[in-house]
Amino acid sequence: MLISFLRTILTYIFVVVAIRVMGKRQVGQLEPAELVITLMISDLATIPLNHVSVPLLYGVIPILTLIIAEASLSFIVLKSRKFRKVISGTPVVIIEDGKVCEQEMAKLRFNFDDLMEMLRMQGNTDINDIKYGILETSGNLSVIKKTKPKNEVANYLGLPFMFICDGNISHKSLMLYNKDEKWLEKHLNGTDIKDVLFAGVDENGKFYLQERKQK
Amino acid sequence: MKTFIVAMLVLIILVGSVFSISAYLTNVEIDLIEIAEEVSVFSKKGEWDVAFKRFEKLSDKWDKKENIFSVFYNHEDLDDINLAMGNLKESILHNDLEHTLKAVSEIKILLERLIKNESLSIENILLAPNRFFCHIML
Repeated sequence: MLISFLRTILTYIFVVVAIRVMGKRQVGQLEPAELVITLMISDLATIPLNHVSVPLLYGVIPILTLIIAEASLSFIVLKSRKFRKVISGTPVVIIEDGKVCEQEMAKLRFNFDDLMEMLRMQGNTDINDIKYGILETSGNLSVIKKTKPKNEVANYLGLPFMFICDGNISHKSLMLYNKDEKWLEKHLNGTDIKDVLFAGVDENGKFYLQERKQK
Repeated sequence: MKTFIVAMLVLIILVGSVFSISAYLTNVEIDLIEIAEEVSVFSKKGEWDVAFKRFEKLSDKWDKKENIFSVFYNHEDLDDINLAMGNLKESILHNDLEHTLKAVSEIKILLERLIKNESLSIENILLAPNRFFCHIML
């Protein structure tokens, strides 16, 4: 029994360190790969606790391997946007201008009751007030409400747009905003696109950008 | 980036250690199998004193390495080998050739199983490793 007690303490310390290395996120905000890792770690940790005849290493080595896999995957996801989309998926617009996109909901196997529940939990009772409802990769629903237009551009769109993300141009955002690369380059004031961390317009149409930190 | 580099270093150390330890344990197991074979040979010749000395050599080596084995192997597998060692000792003391050879065979199979279960093979990756239950043999 003392052995069991000591093993539990050691395994607990090890798992806490493992979760700490993975980073600070609440369970509801975990990406699919991270959720898998968390579930697997919790299961693996109990193996040497339940069976005293099993060496402690039978729990430690798999957990260590998972941490290494997670760290490697996180690094690749950080560096490659394409890979990020493959692993984490992309946010999906399920409410557009007060209307629910049934096709997108069917693809996600997301039913209307779930949607209404999430809206109510955020204090949104009227779908007609919602400009965009976006189901994020973490499973949370982001709601952008309809706003009163303040200028011509906002009258047309009324939304913030991101044109450059991590040094890469989002041509889709430019197209939605009815602008082109020349217009974008003009607003960058000579800064190279690769040196821009992010750039876009806020809901008032005001352009903003942040450059990458110099190494 | 730092976390990734540390993770890669840990991976290299982990894989290197696993291979080194596995090779070391395999060598020990092979030595034990060879000594067990010697016990079998001398028992067949009827040289029970020599066979018993060989058994003592086998038992001493096993006792020395058992602690290391217990860190890496399932304790039930090691208990099976201890049980077989006990049977072998009694068989030799009683000059019982049949049971001596059975016990030696058991020890060799158990040790070979330890080696096989730790080897890198499709069988081990996809299927469950084999377990040997002493009570089936006795």
